[in-house]
Amino acid sequence: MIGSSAPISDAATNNTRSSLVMDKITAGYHADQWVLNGVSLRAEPERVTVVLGPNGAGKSTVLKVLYGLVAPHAGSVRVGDQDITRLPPEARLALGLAYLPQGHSVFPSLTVQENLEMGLWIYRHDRARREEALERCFAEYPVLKDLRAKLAGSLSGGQQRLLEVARLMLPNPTVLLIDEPSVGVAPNLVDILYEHIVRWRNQGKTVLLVDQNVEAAVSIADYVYTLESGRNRLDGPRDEFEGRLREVVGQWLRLDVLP
Amino acid sequence: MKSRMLMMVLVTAAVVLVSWLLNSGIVSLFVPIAMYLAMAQGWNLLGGYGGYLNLGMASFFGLGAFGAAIAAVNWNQSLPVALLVGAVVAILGGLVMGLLSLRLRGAFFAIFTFVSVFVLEAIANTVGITHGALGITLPTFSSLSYNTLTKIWFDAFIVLGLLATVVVWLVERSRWGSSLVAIKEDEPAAEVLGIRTMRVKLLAFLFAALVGGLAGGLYAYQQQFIYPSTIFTDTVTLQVVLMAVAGGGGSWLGPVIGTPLVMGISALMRLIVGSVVVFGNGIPAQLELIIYGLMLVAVGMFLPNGLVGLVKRWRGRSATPAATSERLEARGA
Amino acid sequence: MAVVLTTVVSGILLGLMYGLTGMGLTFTMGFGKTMNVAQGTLIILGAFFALTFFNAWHLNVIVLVILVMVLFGVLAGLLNLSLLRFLRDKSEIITLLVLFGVAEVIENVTSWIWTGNLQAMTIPTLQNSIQWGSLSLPKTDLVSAAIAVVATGVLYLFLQYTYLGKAIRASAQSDLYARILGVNTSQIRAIIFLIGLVLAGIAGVTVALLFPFAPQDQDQWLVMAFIVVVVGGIDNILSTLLAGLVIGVAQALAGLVVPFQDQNLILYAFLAIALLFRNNQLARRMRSL
Ligand SMILES: Nc1ncnc2c1ncn2[C@@H]1O[C@H](COP(=O)(O)OP(=O)(O)OP(=O)(O)O)[C@@H](O)[C@H]1O
Ligand SMILES: [Mg+2]
Repeated sequence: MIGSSAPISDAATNNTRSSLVMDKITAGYHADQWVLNGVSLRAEPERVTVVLGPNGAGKSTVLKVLYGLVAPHAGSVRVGDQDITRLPPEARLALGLAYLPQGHSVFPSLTVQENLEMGLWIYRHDRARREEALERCFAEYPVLKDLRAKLAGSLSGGQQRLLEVARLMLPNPTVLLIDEPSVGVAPNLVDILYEHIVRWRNQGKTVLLVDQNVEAAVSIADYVYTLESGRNRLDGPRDEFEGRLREVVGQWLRLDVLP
Repeated sequence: MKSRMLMMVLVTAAVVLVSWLLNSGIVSLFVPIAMYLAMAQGWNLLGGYGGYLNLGMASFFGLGAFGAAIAAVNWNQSLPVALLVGAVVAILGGLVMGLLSLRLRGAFFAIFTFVSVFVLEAIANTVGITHGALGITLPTFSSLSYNTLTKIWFDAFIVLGLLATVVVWLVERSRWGSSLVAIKEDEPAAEVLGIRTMRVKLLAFLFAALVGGLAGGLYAYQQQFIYPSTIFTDTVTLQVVLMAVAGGGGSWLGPVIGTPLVMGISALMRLIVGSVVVFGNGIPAQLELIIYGLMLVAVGMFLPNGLVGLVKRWRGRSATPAATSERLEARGA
Repeated sequence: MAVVLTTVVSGILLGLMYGLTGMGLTFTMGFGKTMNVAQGTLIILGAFFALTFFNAWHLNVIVLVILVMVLFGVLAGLLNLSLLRFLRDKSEIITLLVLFGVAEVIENVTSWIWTGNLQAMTIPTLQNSIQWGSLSLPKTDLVSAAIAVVATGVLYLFLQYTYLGKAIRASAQSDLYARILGVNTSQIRAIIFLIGLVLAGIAGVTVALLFPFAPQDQDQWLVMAFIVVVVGGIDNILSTLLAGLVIGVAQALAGLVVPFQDQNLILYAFLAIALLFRNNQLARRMRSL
């Protein structure tokens, strides 16, 4: 699994071993109001790493820092042995990271095809590669091929989510940052999403998953972190963790109403 | 509170008194400063506190000027009545403009108000009541000497300016003021908090209309001749906005500092450029406006919160070293 | 009847050119979220560039357009490097403030260089009309309408079918989501600003073709651009062109009954009505920006 036979030129697979490390990150949206206070975590290849925490704990912010959307005040982010703390999102994409944000991120007035093409923006100068990637995508999601000429905004919620997932995987990323994939999605689709995540893990990808759907997330997790008020609380392999988890999540449940 | 008001009255009285002691040549230099102080304060409520870039001060100024001139010439009214007519016309204009544009946030509001100046200019150039492009000649006060008149106009403008300053000072400490600031920071949130944003904005816009209209009426009398092209002009807006923002929009002190400062710098620059004769045929008439334009660019680039903002930041720094209100590169918003 | 037909056709031709004057404003607003208050001034600057090059070298119109486009591209680059680049993370109001300053500088530099006098560009080969049945169509009107149609068409195809065009549309919908996919949205904004400026330059050439002009005329053209934007909305450049056309025809028809000097008033009535009707829609659109 680890020894990849993919060609070196394929940026997305050139480093299947890349683990993602967040080291003592302090970050926030306004100076002096830190949302994260020295958060550290590590996501390994071929593992699903899950981050849990109550509303407003800073889970989404963790992903934004990892993806370069929020510049940290202190600390570092590494992928493999490369420090990427200051790289912009496009450079992280080229290193094999990909990010699925919370909420609906399709461009409603672009067609399905155009949305997918935007997923290959970093390969805009490499037509052959784009065409190949699109072909692969349509082979995997034939529905999208039929819908390609439709405006993304006219799709059902489930189809839009599918489009997002397909777009996410187009550049063949190795490190996946996924924020609340099950919010606002029909239950049967949620199962499919988790199946996808497991498959990506089995393909050797590094998956970092933020989720409020605690049970489902933990059931596919290999390693779990919990975050409270922007600080690490607990972490451990799932098996070790399951007992204590119930207790911790129980506390949050009393704090907030989880969906 | 009472003592502050008393102080304001004393300051006003003192300024007026001093104007009668000084040579009228000197006083005449301060007439535009006094006028623009008033207009910049008028602009300040919505533009500075509320964060709505009003580029239409010249519209209010022009409506006031032509309203007063028409009342004085076409309808033979006395000065106070004419000024009142000018103010009412400006407020009515403000009401129409505000209702049409205040729901259009940001850029659209700015350009709407900017365009209003040109539309009004074209209308004033066309319709009969304003005498078209020929303009209007107002009655003279032949019994008074030029020197006396200069001082009277200065006093009128400075009283208006200081009154507007007092109003802004009071508003700053009122719920109206904090509502405006809330709108500037996050209008949807302000709405959720129950602030009746449209009313708050409209009132601030009408304050600009009132002050601009009164200043315009006084200006019409002071100048005696007014033409649509010299009254409804974006250069008036440019100066008002520059003076308010350079001093510090959203602070009553801003225009008080900004107006004399901008005028002073502009005069100085003209002197300097004038003494270095690089321009074959002397200083071009456009130079002053180019200087103002460049100053506005510089203020926008380096001093968006004006001098007042700069001082506030320094003070903030020395009190709590790390405290700045600057946003991080929070690009994930 | 023939009079009405002639009026409508010349209204259409002029209206297409009106649409072009609003194109830059629509484009920067709809896609770049800033409204360039310097638009009118830039249009006049484009007209002066065209006049100067024509007088110096007697170039043909196509070359004039290309030359002005290049110069406006350079101007956009300079403004971007010196100013706008630093304003991307600041509020929209500050950008507007700076653009207002820039507009004043350009207007006054223009009037300093070319004086405040009314000037006209007379291209001898375009001074006659083409007869078509009972219609007599001035060549200048035809050429400027053609420029408007070609410019809009090219822009439309660019937005619709090029990769960059798609990225521009995507960023307009969501800056964040485009950035997540690796689009450098800061560069995209710079490109949008550049296109807006180039459009103003092209519109300037058509102004020079059709009308005498002076630096202080910038306000008329800004008003025209604004009316076009209000009537046509900011979502679609084709509806901008259509809006220009409607305004041109309406103005031409009104010209049959209203004395010449009052024709501007028709335009402003149009603006007021359009604002009244579109206020809700525009307000909603502004909210979603
Ligand atoms: N763009 C932003 N600007 C300012 N503050 C923000 C922004 N995004 C989030 N915050 C604040 O940062 C804190 C953490 O937010 P974050 O979205 O990371 O939490 P979360 O754990 O993902 O919560 P949720 O479960 O609700 O998604 C919250 O207090 C939130 O209000
Ligand atoms: Mg979240």
